[in-house]
Amino acid sequence: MADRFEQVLKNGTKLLKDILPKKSYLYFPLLFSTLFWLVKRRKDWKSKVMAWKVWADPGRIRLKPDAFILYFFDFNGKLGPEFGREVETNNMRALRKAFVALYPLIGLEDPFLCGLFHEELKKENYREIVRVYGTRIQQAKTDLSPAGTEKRIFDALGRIASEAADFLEELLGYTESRDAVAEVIKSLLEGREDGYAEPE
Amino acid sequence: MDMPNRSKIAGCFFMILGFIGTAACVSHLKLAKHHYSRGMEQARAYRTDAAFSSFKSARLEAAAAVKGRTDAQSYLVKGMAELELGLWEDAEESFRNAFQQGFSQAEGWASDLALFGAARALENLELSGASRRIYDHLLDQSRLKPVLLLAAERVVEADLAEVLDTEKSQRISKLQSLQKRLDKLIGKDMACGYFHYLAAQVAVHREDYRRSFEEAVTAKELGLLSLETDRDNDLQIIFCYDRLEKSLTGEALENFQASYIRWIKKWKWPGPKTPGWKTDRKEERTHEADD
Repeated sequence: MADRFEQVLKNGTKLLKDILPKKSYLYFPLLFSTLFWLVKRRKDWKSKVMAWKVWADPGRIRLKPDAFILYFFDFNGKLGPEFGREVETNNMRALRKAFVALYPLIGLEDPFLCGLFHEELKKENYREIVRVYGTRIQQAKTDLSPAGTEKRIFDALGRIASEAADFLEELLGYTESRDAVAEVIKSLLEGREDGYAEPE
Repeated sequence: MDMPNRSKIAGCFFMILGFIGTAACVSHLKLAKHHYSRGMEQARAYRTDAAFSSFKSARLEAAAAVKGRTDAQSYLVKGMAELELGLWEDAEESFRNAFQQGFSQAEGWASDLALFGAARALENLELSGASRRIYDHLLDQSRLKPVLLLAAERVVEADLAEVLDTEKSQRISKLQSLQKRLDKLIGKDMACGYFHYLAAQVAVHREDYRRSFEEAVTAKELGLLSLETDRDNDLQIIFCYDRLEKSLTGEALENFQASYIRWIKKWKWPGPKTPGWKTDRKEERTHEADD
């Protein structure tokens, strides 16, 4: 068993010797620092994403008293010719149904709905709005395509620069990797091919 | 392979490792949260079409996140996006999956939000009794303000629906108990504009126009989250002003009108019954002149 293990180790060392550059063991502190940084970074990112809280917003109250609905139809004079009869007879069932569709459009001036019912609003065809309100909104929602991720090149470059700075800071925090980096830079400046100084 | 090439390859190896590490951090869950938050911002600003697109993207990213690894938060964001898109059955399934995965102790916020989301989906699937109990529980127990706001909105809406279905003589007691519940919430957080908005909405059902007017003005001054709620609150102020103007007489009317003029000057409204955001101002001013 021990012989076999020794053989595996020998073969492994031989393989690494063939693949890796000469004196590549000198890179190990760099490799260690890089892997350590990557693992730490990934863990930090994951915890940041998990800690990011998202919330929904509460909406407006849709149920209004009869007096408010009657006032809405009375105050918006242009609705008079269409719904005058219902207002006079106090037909709250019909008025409530119309209010659901017309209040966001004429009362609150929802820009999305105003665009969606532009033709009917121009022709003051309010009954048609009430008739097709639900189906048209559903259709518009179905037709909308998902938003793409915006390409914010400067943000991305900034993030990469910040990551690089973090990486260097981490790397230079270890004496061994600091020495290895210094050695590589020194050899590059001296123009040596293998990247390491010859022993004196 | 000669030595300089090998050194370059080793250098490239480190760089590639770094970039992969950076890129891998931009996960599907992060993108899903990004799109969902963006959708909420757009919905607040009344950019409904852009908001729907963002919610669709959030749903797609969250769906990719739950395929990659199974965590409760990915299901939560998927469910919340589905709620915004009105996909009730899908949302109900997402929240069920979220609870099956389980939330850690640090994810108390997510657990409460998922509970609200599940109740909202159940409410739209005609299980209003169960959803009502969850809203009540959240309103009484949750310490998270955004969850309190959401639960308060649903409780008020459900109570008002119940009130509108009952006889007029029985309405007052139900509305009074709802008002008391809101007063308790206001007492806990006096500076929350949304609680005052809700109080104004309930007071107008009680035909207490003075209280409704005061609460609506307070809500406007403290600020409301979305443009839609803000505009609804403005129309509530105008309605209450109209009612009070008709019911008050003499000095009380003069004082009320003088204070109202001061408010609308502050808000830069062109007329007592025309908020600044109204586009068809000309027609309404003519209407005001008729009044």
